[in-house]
Amino acid sequence: MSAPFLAAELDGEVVLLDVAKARLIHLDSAARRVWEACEGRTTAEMTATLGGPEQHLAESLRSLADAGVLWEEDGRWRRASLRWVGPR
Amino acid sequence: MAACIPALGRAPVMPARHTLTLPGWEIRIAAPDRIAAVLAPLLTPLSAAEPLPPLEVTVAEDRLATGAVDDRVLWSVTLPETGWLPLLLGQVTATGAALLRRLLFIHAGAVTIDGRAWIVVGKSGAGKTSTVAVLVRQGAAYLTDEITLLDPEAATALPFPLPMAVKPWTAQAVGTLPRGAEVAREGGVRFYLPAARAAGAAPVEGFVLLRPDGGGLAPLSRAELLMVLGEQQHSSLRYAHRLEDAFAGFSHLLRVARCYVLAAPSPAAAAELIVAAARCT
Repeated sequence: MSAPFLAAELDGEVVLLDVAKARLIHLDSAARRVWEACEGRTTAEMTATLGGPEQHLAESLRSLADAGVLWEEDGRWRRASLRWVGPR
Repeated sequence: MAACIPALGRAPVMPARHTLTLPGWEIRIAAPDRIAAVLAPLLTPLSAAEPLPPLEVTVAEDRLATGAVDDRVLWSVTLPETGWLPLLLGQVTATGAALLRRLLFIHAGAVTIDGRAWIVVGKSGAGKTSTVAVLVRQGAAYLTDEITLLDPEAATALPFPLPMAVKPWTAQAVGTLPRGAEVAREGGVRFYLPAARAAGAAPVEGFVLLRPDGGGLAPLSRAELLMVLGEQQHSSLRYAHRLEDAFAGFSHLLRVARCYVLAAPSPAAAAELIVAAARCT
């Protein structure tokens, strides 16, 4: 079974392809940091890891969750599985 | 975003009056002479860079046009009295693009400058045709006006020399068209084929996104350009069966290309900036 998302890295930014919805999602460098750091962490742990205002982080997480690329489970963030295309 | 090519039923049986045997693609046209005689010369310059199945184009006396492959009707449209030619030509060429299995396509104009391909992207009305026309007038070689074919493995753009659709406002913006010939005229649109055409595939050097706002030529992130391609109504990313390989292919192509956003006061100014970028390595 193929991954629900494909990912391509372009100049430090990431573009995700949501295969089921046939749409692209752009993660700029700031969104990418949040997305990469979230796996298995709580929002509070991420705030400690990434720094910056917690409200900004929460908005970024919510935006990524709305796009379907991550979700919160038992207070911890999980990333959707994906397959990278091309070099990273 | 994705769509499969729907089958609408069995193709009606009509004798083909014109059979165009293009390199890699046979198009059989069964239509009233007043339509076939105008449509055929527009398609003659085309070549399919990968073999495509024969396309049957039928236009009945009531102006109902259909396109069929392997006896499956892929599209059906009633042609208006005026403006029928751009519509019918668009249906035929879009079908060819949709039938591709390895090459990718996007909605863009393209030229070669010093042997390398520059691809001009933008929404309808952004000035793609006029920018391409001025570039060719200034010495670039014509690759295409509407549909740019891309080889993701070789990172090249291929000729798809459909005559340029020059609308009245395009002609006004361009001024003198590049050397070439008018192939047809219908509904206020001149179909014009430039004489200076690229002979074959050219390595992709740059993508230029035309935008009305801002000023001048500025770098654009490759990720942003990929998002622009993803928003296009006509590209390989619109077809479910091409979605994943198109995403991988476009990503690969963009990694080797320069990407810019361009807002210029005229097609001449836009062309000047593109040529300057092309010659600044």
